[in-house]
Amino acid sequence: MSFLGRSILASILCVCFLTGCTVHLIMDYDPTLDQGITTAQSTMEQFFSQMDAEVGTPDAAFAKNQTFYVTMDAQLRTIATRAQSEPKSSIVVKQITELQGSFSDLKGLHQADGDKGLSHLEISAARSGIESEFISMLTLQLALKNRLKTPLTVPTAPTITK
Amino acid sequence: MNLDISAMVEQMWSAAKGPLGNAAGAAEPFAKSQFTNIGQTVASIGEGIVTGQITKEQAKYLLSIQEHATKSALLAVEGLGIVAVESALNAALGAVTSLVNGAVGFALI
Repeated sequence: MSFLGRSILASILCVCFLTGCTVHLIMDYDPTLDQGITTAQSTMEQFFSQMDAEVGTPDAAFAKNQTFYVTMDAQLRTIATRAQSEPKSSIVVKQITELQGSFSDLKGLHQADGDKGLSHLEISAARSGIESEFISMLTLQLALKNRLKTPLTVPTAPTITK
Repeated sequence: MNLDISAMVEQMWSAAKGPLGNAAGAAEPFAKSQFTNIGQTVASIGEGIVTGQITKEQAKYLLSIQEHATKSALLAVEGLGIVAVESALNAALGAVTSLVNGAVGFALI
């Protein structure tokens, strides 16, 4: 590293020590976003359970389930906007984008099945993948939440005896 | 369909853990559990194609969902690694703060 580079790094570290700042590499925990993800999962799970119960019936048809696709799309867009507004949130934003991709695949699959609706095997495979995505998202949210509980500094200095 | 899920999980983990360095250990149980789940689902989709329960078009959508799930798991692994690195850096900064405050006898920083 050049002298200039070392000087800049030393200056940053000095400022950090003098202001008592902490290193911040990823977004803060956002309880509203966490709740939004949980709500989206609940909507999705309800849909899968309903579809599983209605396999082979007219109610399983794509045309009969438009409300779910409209509601879910809105919920995913809402959490995507929320995440995009947070600094250092690129990883979480990418996870939401992946989930939107899975939602689009689910819609395409259901649309292709048309009046027949989704089969048990399709529901099981789609549900497993999408649940896996929610686990990944919530695991990261939990790690962001728990880091708040980790003490970042040792607050007590040794006692000076005179 | 013969798919060695354990070998697939190990291959996925080997590729994912590289950039994590020392933080890999924290993410390993989560990553392996997710990769196993995805591997099992891919195997069941494969069986569905073989037995004619799933068409190729349907399989395309279902495999795409597993691809998104894999990317999301890898993103979580990356995020967990960053949180671990951040915690280590802040613990180091905290230790320096403690030493400096201890040396001067009051909470200077």
